[in-house]
Amino acid sequence: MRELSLEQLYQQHGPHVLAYLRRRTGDVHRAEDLLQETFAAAARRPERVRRAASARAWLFGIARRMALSLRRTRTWAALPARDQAVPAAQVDPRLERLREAIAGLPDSLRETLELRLREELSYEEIATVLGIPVGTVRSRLHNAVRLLRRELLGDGEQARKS
Amino acid sequence: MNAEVLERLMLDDALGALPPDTQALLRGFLELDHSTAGRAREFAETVSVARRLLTPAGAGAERPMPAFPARRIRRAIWQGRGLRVMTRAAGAAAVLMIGVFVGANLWSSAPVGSTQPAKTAVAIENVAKEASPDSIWSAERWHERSRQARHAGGGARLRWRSVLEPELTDES
Repeated sequence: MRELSLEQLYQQHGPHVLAYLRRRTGDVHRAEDLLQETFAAAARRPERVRRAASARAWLFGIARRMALSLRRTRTWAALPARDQAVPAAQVDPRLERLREAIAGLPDSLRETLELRLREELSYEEIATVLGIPVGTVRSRLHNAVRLLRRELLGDGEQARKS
Repeated sequence: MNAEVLERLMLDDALGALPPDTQALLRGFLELDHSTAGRAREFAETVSVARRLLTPAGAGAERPMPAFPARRIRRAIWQGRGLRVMTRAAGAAAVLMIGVFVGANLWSSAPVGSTQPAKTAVAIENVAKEASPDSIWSAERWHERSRQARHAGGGARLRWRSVLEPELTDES
């Protein structure tokens, strides 16, 4: 792969990968450094990028592995913090319940859900990023939505009490 | 329609992962089945609220995108080329080493003319050592008898009628 096409990839997918890394690391400067390292890894193995069905998914996969290596020492910003300027009384109680429910999801389900809803990756792309079969991605997403729906309707609370 | 299949389709629809044709068929089906349509709406609402929570407005717009790190990328490209060359060289060296090792083993284990008789001689020597001096086929025993006969009469002689039939004869 020539440098020019890598630059095109950077322009096209860089902002999404950077936003993902910012959320994962919770550190803007660290995220920018990891973004550069992600594209440097792509430059070192151009044949992998060329062979990948989705260059975006491949880049997200590298970025994810790099963010994971930092996870031991850094806090993982799983969810954006609630806007502190909004008084608690005005906050939709359903949103709060769902926020807690998402935070309480198993890591594997939450990560898959985030890749789908936040990063807007397809099932196939998520499978590439996580290195799992597409069927597993689908079942993880379905389980996550079922659990959240139960929480949103209040069934989860009843189920925990009973 | 199978309830499980229907639920999976509704979930995929809520997650925005259904192909347009399948989506149109599902929507057509749900228009006729109001109770199932209610569940589909719940799934869609759940996903919608979760999406709102995960992607708040203005997220990610706080800092500009850094410039393309051309120098770092160039360095990485050269590193990658160097790594590939080293990997190939290491592979070739490994193949060469294996070839030398296998060749040397084959050479040393090949049957060479001088080795076989030596082994046979050792085997014969071992058999001779293993034979007890008192056994009937002992050569030592027959030599001893021959020696005794020579000392006694002087004319006795050990004759081998066959390999298995030694005989003491009197020459006098």
